[in-house]
Amino acid sequence: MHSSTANFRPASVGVVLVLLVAVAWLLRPLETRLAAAGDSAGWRAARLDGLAGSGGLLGVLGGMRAMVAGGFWLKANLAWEHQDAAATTALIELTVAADERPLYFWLNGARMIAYDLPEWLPPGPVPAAVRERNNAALAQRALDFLERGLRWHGPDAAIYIEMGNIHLRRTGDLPQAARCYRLAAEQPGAPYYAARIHGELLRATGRTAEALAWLRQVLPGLPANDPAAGRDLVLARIQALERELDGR
Amino acid sequence: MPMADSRHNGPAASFRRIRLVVGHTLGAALHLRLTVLLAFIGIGLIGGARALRDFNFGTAELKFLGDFGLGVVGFLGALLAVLAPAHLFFDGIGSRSVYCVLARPVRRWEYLLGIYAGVAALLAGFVAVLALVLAAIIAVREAGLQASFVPLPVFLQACALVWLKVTLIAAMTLLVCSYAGSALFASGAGLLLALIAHLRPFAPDSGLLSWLRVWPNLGLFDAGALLATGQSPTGAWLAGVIIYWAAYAVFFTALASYAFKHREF
Repeated sequence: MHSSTANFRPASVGVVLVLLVAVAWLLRPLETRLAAAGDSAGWRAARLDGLAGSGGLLGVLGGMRAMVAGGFWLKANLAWEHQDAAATTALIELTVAADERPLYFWLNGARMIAYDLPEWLPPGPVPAAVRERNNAALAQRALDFLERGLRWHGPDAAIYIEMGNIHLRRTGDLPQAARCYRLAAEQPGAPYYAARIHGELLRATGRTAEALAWLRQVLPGLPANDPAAGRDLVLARIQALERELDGR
Repeated sequence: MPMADSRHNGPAASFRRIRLVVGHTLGAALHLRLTVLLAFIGIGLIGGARALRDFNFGTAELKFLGDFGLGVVGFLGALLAVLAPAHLFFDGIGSRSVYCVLARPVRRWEYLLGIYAGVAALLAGFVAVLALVLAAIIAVREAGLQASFVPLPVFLQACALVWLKVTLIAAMTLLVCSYAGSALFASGAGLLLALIAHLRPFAPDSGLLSWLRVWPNLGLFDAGALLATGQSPTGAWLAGVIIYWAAYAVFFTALASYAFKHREF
């Protein structure tokens, strides 16, 4: 009988397996420490599930993640052109599964899901209730998508701002939008407008005193020589809020 | 094999014999058409990476070039690490040169270690050549874009991680070779083991696939992650990775020597 192995002996294979387990056990603490800086096991498993059968697994495992993700992103845009909601969503998921590092994929993928997909309803009149339900479901999907982006990237101003935008424009949930803008404003390197919008949303939701306290808190950190900081704007808004509160 | 002649005993004599096997293995490996073919494919792919910029959306161009280039080096290096040891090992058996070597005062573990070191040297050359091409392409683009990529030490560390990864794959393949009956079987099993080691980071702590945790985790040698951060890892982390690599490399080579010692020709 032909065999693929030379003088195969079950006993020696047993020895090899026992030694393998012993070495793996000895190296386990070291491996855990080395991998501690990496991503979580749950997220890795989700990535594997996403890529299995898509043809991208080999490329990702081989190290060509940017390339594979770029290919998926191109296909997602092709599906977007054809207004194929299911394919667009699936391909956006594959893109971030292949390469979760670029924020570009998370932000633009969420924008597609939240703003474009709701407009692709079947032709003909659509009842307003159906449209609203569809909008809310897709907005929530985009928010869940960005939440996963946060799990990978950690707190990030751009992701929080995008979540705030979706709450503001699609779900109309102003308190949640205010919360997201505040979180964005608290991140290092956040754009100045995040703090201003948070203040504005506090005022819009009737929390005028909180808005005033917030703007007073951020004012000292705004440079006078940077137009993007809008220091004069914030100062004017503080004065307006003070007058508003005094007039009550 | 007992060695009555005292000239053949001692670490110095052993080292000399291993060095001779390394030289022979490296010479044979450099003459392999497979090595040349993979090197040309790698140079072509890395050289043509700029043409693939249309596939780059999420990252800056230089990062894309680095990520793609190191991906090519890692992928082709892994293929070479699987195919070259199997080819060289069974070529020695097929041409009966191994009998001539082992008839002389060369211990079997020395022969196997020589092959492994020869393949590791081949892989070092392979990674170095492709990394040089990649560095040249990146340097040209850096000048064109007036931008800078990651610092040179980080790039070199990323290349070193790729080399550590592929040499570990070569050690796994050599272990299979030591008891395999054919180069085809050894290459196939080596590829499978390399795939398992790549999938190892995804193995859960419990469940059906938890047994995968006994296998080395090649996810630790992720050069792309190093380029993504652009920062040098801590010395403790680097030392830990090297210890991890060395432990498995020594373990696989020792097991391969054990299996080869009991192999009947």
